[in-house]
Amino acid sequence: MARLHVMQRSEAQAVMDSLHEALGRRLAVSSLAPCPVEFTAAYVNMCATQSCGKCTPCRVGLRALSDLLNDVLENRADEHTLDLIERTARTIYLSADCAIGYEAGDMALTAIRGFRDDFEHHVQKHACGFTQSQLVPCVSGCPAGVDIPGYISLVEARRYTDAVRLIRKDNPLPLVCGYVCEHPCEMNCRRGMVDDPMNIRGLKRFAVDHMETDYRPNMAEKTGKRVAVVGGGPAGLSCAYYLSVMGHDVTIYEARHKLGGMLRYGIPNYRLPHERLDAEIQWILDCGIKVKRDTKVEDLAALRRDYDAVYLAIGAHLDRKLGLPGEESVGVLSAVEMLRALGDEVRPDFSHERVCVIGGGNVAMDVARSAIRLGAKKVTIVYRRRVADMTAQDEEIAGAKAEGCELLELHAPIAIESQDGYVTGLRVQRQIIGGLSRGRFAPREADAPEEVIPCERVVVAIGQAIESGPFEEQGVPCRRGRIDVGEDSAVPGMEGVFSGGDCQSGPATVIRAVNAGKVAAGNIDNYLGFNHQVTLDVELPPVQFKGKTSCARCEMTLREAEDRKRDFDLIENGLTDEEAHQEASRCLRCDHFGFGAFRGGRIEQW
Amino acid sequence: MVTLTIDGKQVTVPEHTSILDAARSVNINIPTLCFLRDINEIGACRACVVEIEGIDQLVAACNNTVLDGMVVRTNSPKVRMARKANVEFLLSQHDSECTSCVRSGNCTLQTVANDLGITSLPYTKHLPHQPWNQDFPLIRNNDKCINCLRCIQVCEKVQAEGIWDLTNRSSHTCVGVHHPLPHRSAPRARRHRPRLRCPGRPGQDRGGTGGARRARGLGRAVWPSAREGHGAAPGHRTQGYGLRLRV
Repeated sequence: MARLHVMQRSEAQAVMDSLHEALGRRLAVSSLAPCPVEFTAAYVNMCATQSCGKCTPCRVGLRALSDLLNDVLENRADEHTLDLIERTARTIYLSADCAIGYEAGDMALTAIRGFRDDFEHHVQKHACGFTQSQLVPCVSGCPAGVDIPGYISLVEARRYTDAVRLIRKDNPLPLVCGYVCEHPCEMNCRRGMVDDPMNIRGLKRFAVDHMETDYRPNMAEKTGKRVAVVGGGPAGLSCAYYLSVMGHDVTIYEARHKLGGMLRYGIPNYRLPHERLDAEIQWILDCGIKVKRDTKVEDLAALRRDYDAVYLAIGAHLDRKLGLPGEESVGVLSAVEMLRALGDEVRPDFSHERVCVIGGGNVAMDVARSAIRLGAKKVTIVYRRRVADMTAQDEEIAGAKAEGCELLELHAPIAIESQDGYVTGLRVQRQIIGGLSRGRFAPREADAPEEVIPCERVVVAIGQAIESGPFEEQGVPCRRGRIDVGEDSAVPGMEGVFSGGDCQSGPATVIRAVNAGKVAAGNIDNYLGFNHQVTLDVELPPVQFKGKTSCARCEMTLREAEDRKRDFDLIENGLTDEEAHQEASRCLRCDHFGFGAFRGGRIEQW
Repeated sequence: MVTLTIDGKQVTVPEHTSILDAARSVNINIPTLCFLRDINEIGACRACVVEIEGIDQLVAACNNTVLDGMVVRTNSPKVRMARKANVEFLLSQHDSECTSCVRSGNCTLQTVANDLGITSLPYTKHLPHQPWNQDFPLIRNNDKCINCLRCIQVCEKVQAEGIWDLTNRSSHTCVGVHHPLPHRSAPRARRHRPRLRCPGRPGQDRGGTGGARRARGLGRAVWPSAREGHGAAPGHRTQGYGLRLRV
């Protein structure tokens, strides 16, 4: 027998690897589905399969824990069981010899503590306290609840106008979302269990870009009720659209010259072209919505007197300051200021300038990539954590890199250097990444000297705040700067006043703002004494079973970096006809197959 | 030398001393089940876990060494809870019919469980119920085995036979052989018995006392008799960690 053997991957190991990979995909798309107790039991069992069997807590404890969790599921548990479950999980965490055991124990503890209510519900009521929320996975993942399988089937049938009509039942901004939605729906797409999730945003954009004809929505009879919407961003526009479709007379008050809010003053033209945005906004306004531009609402009570209801959707447009020495120097500007100028088509000249952008979110990428387009000689994105910790989407980071932005991770700004009041550089301190703190890996000062990055301009992109102060003074309840309303959007203590969007949630996504506007519209309608239903008026093509096929996802492409970084024109190419139809055909139609069939697969009206 | 504090007592011991030995040097007893000096220092049973100040989790005293300034607690609420639960875990996979067990009264597991005040078993019992060839000269009863794994180590390190091994993984882990033992390997298997040391009672002879067994050519076959401690002079009767079974 040979003394040593070359390591080889056995066929069984290859199968094991592929099953692990499939399990990862499966878990990635199914977080809306399971019963918390059942999931915890399965999780514990899965962890147990990884145990080598050496140590007691992992070998025996995980099985004992699984038994107890099954007791809860099978109605054999009482309140002592829950204490025993916690003690068991804690013992596994405390005394397992390696991470296979203690991580399993720790995760089980997290689950047991986090889902305590549901555990108790099982014990006391012998039923799961979680409602079966995943009717259709993608729709459940979409804050606005857009009928995704429905419009994908319409794209497949080449009925693009009908697809857009169907989208507008739940989301009046299909174009905006087709271009810039963060697509949380795709995180839940069941196709992800098979190969890759559907490219849902790509299909939405394809439908919007290929509408056969325009159409107008069916308007309800005039109600005579007047509603003021404060703020013309995605939340305000969505609320205004549905209210006017319901027959109410809506006026939007917009502090700036143009509507769109962060869609215009936050998202650069190269991601969402202004003329396309204008067209979508105009289509909504054509429902008979009045607009008062350049009108900042100062007196909420007066506005409330003039109207039957008010919707506050003022967004989050205040910049946050770093609080560092030198911040008042000429050449320091905030991302909000810079993007606002770009939104008004003012394009400052950055040529021959070196620019430092501070921050790691999508906004930081937006200003960095805009700075490149404004002619900056060098753009450095300075972030105190690692690139991996950036909150910006991966494709935004990759896009910024491709366009020539330098990513300087693990450097914290400590001062802005200046000479004669003009920025000359950014003083930074190298950081070292550490452990979790409040859910994120936290950096701390590294044992390294300070450095100065020479630059002529510093753009601060460390988040936005809400201008809620003036409204708070007028009695609108606020918490940590956010307008504090319940799930029904009604402002407590102010009858007929509703609020939502970024000013309530903090800076978030377009689709969450759309959801906020839609929810407010429904509740304002009821408040005004009506119950208009927004209904499905598109007939969907018949569903066809295709069986399991293997087909990867078509991605949208970008214009070449060298070319696109010279202008502010749209950088993303939509799917081709061939790609869009292949992509649409990949949809597993969870509205018809699986649990979707149980309740008709879609919400026909709201 | 290293100075540390164990349960409030200052202890000075040589470097590389285990926490277990450091505690024993000042008469603080930490229970152990799987520990067998130099042979099986694997921290498997987790009965010897102790708390070290500054660390949330517990650590095995048998295979971790002392550090200067270390503050150890061997009897804190956290330690007692985890230790007790771990022994309860073991008992959930142990046939606790002590009344019909030859080891009753001489059993470390029984002693440790009593010392921890375990009076009822909260977990569902799972016994492996493995069939065993009753004609085989050695009878092994895995319903009694607590997977301390000492027998495997002795087989490998002392006898250098490598017959016994872990079969299965996770909750189904057992001591066994990967292939059924042929009858002719019985002498090899039996050779382990005098050296096997087991805090519970997984295996035993086929019955009868020394004379009868010798008459059948089986020799004294008590597994897990655990009489001669590893490294002890022949005939020296050691106590293992609680075993009082004598030759």
